[in-house]
Amino acid sequence: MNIRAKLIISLVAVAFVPCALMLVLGLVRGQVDPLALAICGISLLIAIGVAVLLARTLSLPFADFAQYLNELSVGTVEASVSDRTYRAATEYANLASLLSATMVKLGNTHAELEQQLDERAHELDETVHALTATKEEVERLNNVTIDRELKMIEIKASLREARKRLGEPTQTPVAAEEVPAEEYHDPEQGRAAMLNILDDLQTEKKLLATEKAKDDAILRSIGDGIVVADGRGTITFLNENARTLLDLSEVDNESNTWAQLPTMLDPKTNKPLAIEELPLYKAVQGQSVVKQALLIQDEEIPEGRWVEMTATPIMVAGMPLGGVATLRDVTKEQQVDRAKTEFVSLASHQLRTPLSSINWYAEMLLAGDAGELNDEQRTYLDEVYQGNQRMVDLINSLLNVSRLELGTLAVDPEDTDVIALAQSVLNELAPEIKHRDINLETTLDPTTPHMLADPKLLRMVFQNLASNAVKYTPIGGSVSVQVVPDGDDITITVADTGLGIPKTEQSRIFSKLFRATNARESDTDGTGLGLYIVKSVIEHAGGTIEFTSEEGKGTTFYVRLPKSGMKEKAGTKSLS
Amino acid sequence: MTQPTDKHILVIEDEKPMAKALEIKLGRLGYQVTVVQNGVLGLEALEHDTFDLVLCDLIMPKVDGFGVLESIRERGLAVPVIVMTNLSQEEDEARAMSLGARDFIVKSNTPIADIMDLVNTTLA
Repeated sequence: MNIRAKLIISLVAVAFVPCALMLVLGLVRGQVDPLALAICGISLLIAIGVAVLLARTLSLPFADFAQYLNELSVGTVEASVSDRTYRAATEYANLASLLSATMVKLGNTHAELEQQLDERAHELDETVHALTATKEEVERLNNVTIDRELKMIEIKASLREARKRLGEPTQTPVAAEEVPAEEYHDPEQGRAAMLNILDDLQTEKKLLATEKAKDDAILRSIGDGIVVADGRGTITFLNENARTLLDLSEVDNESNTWAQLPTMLDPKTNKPLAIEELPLYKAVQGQSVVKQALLIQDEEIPEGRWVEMTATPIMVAGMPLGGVATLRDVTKEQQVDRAKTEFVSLASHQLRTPLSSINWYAEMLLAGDAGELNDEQRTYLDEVYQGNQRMVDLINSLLNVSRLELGTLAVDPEDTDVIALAQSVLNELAPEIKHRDINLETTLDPTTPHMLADPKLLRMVFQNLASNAVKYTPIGGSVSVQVVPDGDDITITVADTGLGIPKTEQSRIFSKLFRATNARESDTDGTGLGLYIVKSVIEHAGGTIEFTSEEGKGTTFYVRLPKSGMKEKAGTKSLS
Repeated sequence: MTQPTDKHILVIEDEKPMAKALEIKLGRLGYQVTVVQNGVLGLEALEHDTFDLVLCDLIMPKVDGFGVLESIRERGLAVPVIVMTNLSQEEDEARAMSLGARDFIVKSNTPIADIMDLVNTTLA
């Protein structure tokens, strides 16, 4: 149906509707007026005519428009189309074209939008997945956090227990940079911070555990025995070598160690050592390095097993927190040393007999028992006698050294007048002092108290120091001897203006058989044992010896002996 | 050479040079001297003769000086004994003295003249 037909029907319908209504009304009322019926018919006819006319008039431009559009679409334009219609059609066509283009664009845009929508939807899916995973991770972390917090509580409890055992204060100090949890006002921030701290603690804990395992492995692998005690003296660690050396293989709990220690003897006195006398116990009390040889009875070694214990306090911030001791089996060294010393002792005794014969016969010849000697014979024989006497002195010194080293030198203290003893030694040296024109200065303080000392040992100290001073001082030089009380000690100072000790050799001057280069070159006799014996004797007596020396200018020895005197010590051998 | 010829001294010494030196020196002082080389011979001599003094070494074969001292004590002999030795251990000296030795001298450290002085003093 074209547009014109539609218009006609519409107009007729418009005109016919009132007529139809009037007719229907009349029928309803039962009063159909024939005039009205005629008017309705005439009106209907007029309406149809008007409708056709109007329809034609009204539809014409549309028809033209449609025709023009059709022509436009096929490319031919009828000249008959009015200008207005033409312009309208043109505009319409433009609009249609624009509409079409717009539709295309809209279509494209729609496609793009759909694509973007798909992409967004995909991204959204991914985000949802990620969020789900994050949520699960957060839940897992929450669980881990709870576990860590529980472990931290356990660790802190263990630490408190450990500190308690070590005798430390149990309150854990707060680190300067540590922020109390309550200062985190934002719960999430606080939680995150706590997680970080827990992570750090966990990492530190692992590192500490690794380090501890490493330290334990090192301690267990050390060839020497290691024993560690806490601040109360309780043994907290024993490595395998320590267990072996101390016969503690059966000890399960280190804290019972003291009670199960074997009897340990002091090799010098051969008497059992009390626990308080052991180096580790002393170190726990804060004494610096303490070294002690211990003799442990051993069924397989008749002379016993020698163990050397060196203990040191464990100091933290200047406070002793316990002690650590190293143990070393020195049995073989002791056996070798003892054998060597006994050999020297035996050899010395064997050497003494022929030397005694030479001494006696030389003495008899010099005394004229075999007839008078001329001067030359006397000189030669005197050399033999003096040389032999030096040999006897050397043997005696070697014997003394072996006794000192064997620990068999007896100390027999008695009330001793140190001043009188010093004077006696100087009197013995008087001929030599005079012979060498030595200027002797003595300061022997008469207020010096008597002391408990073994006079033979003390004499040996004076003899060696004074005779060295005289021997190594050039003719016309000076020697001074001073004995004065000083507090709880008696000090002995022996100074000379002699050869002095070369600086590079001063550290060795108390070594066995050592003689300084300039002393050897000075053509003086000496065994190299005198100062070694002096130092050993002084240390036996609980004293000290020091010296200052400058080569070419002289030497001064400073001896300090406690007034309390020497302690008695049973020994099998006295001085030769 | 001095006067005392009535005093009889027994020297028990296994080292011949030492024994000879003592014999010479003591003889020159006028003493009558008997020298033996070990403890067994020394004890035999003590059994057969009377001595005024015994000079005795310690380390000797068969019976040593300690054995001689013990035997003298067991026999109840009053003869003084001077021990001469090259042992200088305190325990040796203490043991010898406890067994009745009058003196204890270390030979290498004692001039023979000092021994003669000691003998003179002991027999004076």
